Amino acid sequence: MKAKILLVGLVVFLATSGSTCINDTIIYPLDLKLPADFTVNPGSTYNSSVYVLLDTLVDEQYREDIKDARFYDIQIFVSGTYTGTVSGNASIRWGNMATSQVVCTYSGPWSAFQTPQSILSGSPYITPVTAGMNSFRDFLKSAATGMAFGQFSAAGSLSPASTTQLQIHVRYLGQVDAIIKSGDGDDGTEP
Amino acid sequence: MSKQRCLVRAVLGMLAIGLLLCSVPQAQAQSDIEKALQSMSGKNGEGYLQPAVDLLGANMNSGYYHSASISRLGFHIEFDIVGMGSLVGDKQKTFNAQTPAGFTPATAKTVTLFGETGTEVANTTLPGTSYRFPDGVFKTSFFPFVVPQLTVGNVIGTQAVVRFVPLPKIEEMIPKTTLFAFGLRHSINQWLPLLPLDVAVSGFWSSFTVEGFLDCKGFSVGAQASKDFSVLTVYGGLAYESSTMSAEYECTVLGTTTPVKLDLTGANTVRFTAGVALNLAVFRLFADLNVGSVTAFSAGLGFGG
Repeated sequence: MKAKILLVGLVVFLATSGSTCINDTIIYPLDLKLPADFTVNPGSTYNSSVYVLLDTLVDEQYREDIKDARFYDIQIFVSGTYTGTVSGNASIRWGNMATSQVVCTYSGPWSAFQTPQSILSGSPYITPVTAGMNSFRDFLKSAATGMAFGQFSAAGSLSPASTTQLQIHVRYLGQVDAIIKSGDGDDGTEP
Repeated sequence: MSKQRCLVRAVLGMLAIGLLLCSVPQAQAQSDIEKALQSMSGKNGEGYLQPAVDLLGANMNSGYYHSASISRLGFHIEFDIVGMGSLVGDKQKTFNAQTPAGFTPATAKTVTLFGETGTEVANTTLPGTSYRFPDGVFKTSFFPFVVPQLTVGNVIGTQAVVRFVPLPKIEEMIPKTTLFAFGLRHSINQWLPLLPLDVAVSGFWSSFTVEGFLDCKGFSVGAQASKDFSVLTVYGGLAYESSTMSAEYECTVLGTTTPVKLDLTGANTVRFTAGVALNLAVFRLFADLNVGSVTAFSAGLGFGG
């Protein structure tokens, strides 16, 4: 009997000493890449938009558990054969915004953009616009409060005019924070 | 989580897996660690997991002996339940993680799986942008481990020590988990009978595998000495040891998922042990302190002998 009591005591001691527990809530920042691909038709100007439902970029198991968001880079690259220069701006419009807000402007030889240019690496061809970046960050954060739907645009000019169809690709790189409460299942729902 | 809830979970978990592992629900902890690692590439994954191999390795190499007295011949069988625990210090709670390429600063101090809140670091050259690292998983100052241990002998002053717990996969809740350890202890007194203390040398190898996620190995060689004082045995030892851990997980960065395999080495290489055992009629109690890069304790209850 004494041995049993000691054994149970040992188990309880080892189970409780140090209060080994899993943290009550754990935040996993999920990397997120928002793609915006714009078609540039032959000519000297372009203006193209795409629509993005933010939910679709987040792993299904975390969609109900988004707490916060942030972004850290914008990348621009191009595809298609062209030898001139390109300039323009990338903008966002979402929620109740009356007009689009420019997130960044870009300008340079088309060939330079055939290698992805990034604001994070300090590309001389891209200039971030603070107000637009804040608006984009708010768009990402809106993932925490419900379905976020945004219009992403690229508009600008080509010199000389292009005779073929080209493409401009903008990638917004950010993170959304999935908050998991200890004891949740893999589906991220409450127990 | 309330302390009561933690206690109930811990006790049930331990009983359910045959006194094998630590006091956290293993499957949940594994799942949480895997989630945290999802966005971590190699170097950051290494930094995040490194304390696990340091602490687990120190635990796996603990508690093998509580006396150096081994007779030359005679039947000896002993069953122990050995609990070990490593102290989780501040250096096990943080590491220097790499931010994305081009980010300023290039590194930032954040938490390991034994920390609490991950660091959010602002890019000092690009206002409005920032990057965050995942939170830790375990909130603890003590990382425990429990194993059953069988010691049999004696043949030419030699004993075999075995730890073995096979835990089958239980649906999706608990992955297949196996602990196995084997070692030999050999008495030196039979060769040097004039020694004032009981002295033995030993070698141990251990393996702890969580299928599809972790594969830990431990190795230890050393010498130990002990002296009996009535029902009390005072013992100590010096050992060289190593521990390794391989972890496999999938890392998803910016929509691209790649398999990651990390090979980590535990911090402990040399340990000093000092302990005491109380030998009663049908059982014995023992406890020791192990000092090395990681400080660990071991204590337990033994039957037979």
